Amino acid sequence: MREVINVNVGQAGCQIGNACWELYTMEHGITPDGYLQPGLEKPKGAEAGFSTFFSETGSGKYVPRALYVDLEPNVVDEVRTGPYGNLFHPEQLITGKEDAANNYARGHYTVGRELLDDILDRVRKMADQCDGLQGFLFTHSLGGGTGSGLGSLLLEQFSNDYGKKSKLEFAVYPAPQVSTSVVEPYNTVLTTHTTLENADCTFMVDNEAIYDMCRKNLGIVRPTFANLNNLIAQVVSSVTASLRFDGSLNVDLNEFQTNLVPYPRIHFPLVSYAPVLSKQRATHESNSVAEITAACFDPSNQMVKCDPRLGKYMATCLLYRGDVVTRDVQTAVAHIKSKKTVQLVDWCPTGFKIGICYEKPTQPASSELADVKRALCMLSNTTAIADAWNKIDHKFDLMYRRRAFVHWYVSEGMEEGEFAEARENLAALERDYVELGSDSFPEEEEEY
Amino acid sequence: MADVSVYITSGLTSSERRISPQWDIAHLKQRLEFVTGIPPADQKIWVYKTPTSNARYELKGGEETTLNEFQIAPYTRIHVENINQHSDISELESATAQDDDEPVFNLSEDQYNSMDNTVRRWKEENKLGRFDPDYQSKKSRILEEHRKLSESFEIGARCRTMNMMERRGYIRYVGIIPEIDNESYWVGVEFDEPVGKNDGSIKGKAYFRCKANHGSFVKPTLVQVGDYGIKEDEHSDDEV
Repeated sequence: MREVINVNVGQAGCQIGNACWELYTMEHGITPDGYLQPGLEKPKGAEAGFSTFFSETGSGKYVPRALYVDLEPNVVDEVRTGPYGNLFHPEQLITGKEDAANNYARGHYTVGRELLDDILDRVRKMADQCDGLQGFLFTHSLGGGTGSGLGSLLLEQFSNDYGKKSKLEFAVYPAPQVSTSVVEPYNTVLTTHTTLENADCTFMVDNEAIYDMCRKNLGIVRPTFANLNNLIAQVVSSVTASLRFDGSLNVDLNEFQTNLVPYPRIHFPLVSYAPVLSKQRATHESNSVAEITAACFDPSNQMVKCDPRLGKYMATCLLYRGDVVTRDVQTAVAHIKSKKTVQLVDWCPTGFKIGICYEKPTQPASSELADVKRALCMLSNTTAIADAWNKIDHKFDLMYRRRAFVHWYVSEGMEEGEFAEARENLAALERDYVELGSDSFPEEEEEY
Repeated sequence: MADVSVYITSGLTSSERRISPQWDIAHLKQRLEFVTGIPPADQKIWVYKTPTSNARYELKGGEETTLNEFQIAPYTRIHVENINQHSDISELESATAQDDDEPVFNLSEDQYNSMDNTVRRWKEENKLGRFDPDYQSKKSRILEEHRKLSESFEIGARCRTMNMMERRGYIRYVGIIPEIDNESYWVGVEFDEPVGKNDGSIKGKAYFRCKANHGSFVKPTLVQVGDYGIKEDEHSDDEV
């Protein structure tokens, strides 16, 4: 089989992981303590991808191929004592005693490094149980100390230990307007620098974009992490559906890279999702294939705030799930192409690929999202996402020219030179995107 | 007792965080420093009573007073005020508010060129884009077609553009527009309706004059010249 090991790092990573495993168990017909739901003879997707994400013990129990890692115990303690506590083997839940205090250097060099051997041992055990490990799926934040520091340390280590196995990330990217901590821009730039050569494909999610969707589309006045994470989990589930069930596109981890990444550094596809509908509104919407397709081209359905109309596309994957027929998809896509200005990087091979997975999305009881017959997750590698790097680099510079808080990092054993080195790498990344956007032949649709 | 989720705000930050009722004030302040950047001695901590009102009280007491005594409800907002106007964080706050900082990091053209593992190097090595030996000739051919097409248009002729929807109007300008780039050929159109992007000017230079949002510059391939009449308002048609 083609197993995938999920690694959730830090508070955000672990909480998103919880929301995802709640969905995965429901989608596959598994109870919160890891057994088949009554009335089922085998898990849903058993013939297809189920075992990529779950292993089976001799006693008929199903265990997620997942690891939770956090430097402080509280968040993971809630998994241990919560309704899904019996789903996981205690060894899959690794915690330390002291947190990273929002500091990349603590996650990467000091506190995090103390847990490293322990984590690598557990991962080795899980990998040994696989017949044909495909790779790893990371969930972490770029701005937090553990998510950025330890997350990047693990990605580096996995590159050494597991060579060419795929490594994909779901990463919480800092919101453009407000920082969650004053050093968030430092952590983000440092972790991006460290992982740029190690991750194959990174799907970013910015909390502000999710927050706005929760407010506008779901009518939640003051969204909490729980609300945000439920929505993020739906998106992650849509991206991984083709791995877990039968699909026609991206059925293997390495296909994401093949289909979306023209050049290794440019591995940050923009994710859009539709429909995001509250239970009240759902009855008034038909949610046709045409509507959800059009919605995914609307910036308000994007997981990162940027304007794709100002960028050029390198590749696009449309991942439909649920009750969808190919003919409707073809009509919807043709319609979009005729109406929207979709500018392509014409000198590099670009593609517009379509995948359908016939399992519809599932909603847990706690979710604010309506139960729908179909959904679409669009992954598009567009130069517009460079905007995210411009913003974070600017915030980094604002602090670094004053050397503000640099001593917090240096006192954890980090060389000050790493700041400049990381920033230079990000400057080159920004330049890479400019280079991708240039040299296309004159566009017919341009208008001034 | 279990952790409580609260919102922490400060001049530069806003986040959902977990606090433990067992922490004492000294510990809370120490943790808040790593979130907000404000040193404990400069912190004034405000607790908002409800999410919607501005009623608040100051969280203070002996260093060893535990948070337990304040009975902080889940999703309470806790605001950390910086009371030292001459600290580094104050300076950072005002710089952020003004946002007038020059970028400190400038990667020069030479530096980028000298780096391995960049998109430019990849394009160069694989002869992509402008590094493709045929690129210039392909591009010149397209520009030449655009030039010929442009020259066939007469100023003042009726025309229509057909990209998003049909838009009708008059050709008002044909040629290169240095304000956009130095090689493309453009056709300036004055539309009958306000369906354009400007008044005939680009970056302050007027290429023709018309009412606001009646003018646009488009590529010659998008323009069809012909006897396209001025459309009547569709609603008044209905009434005839």
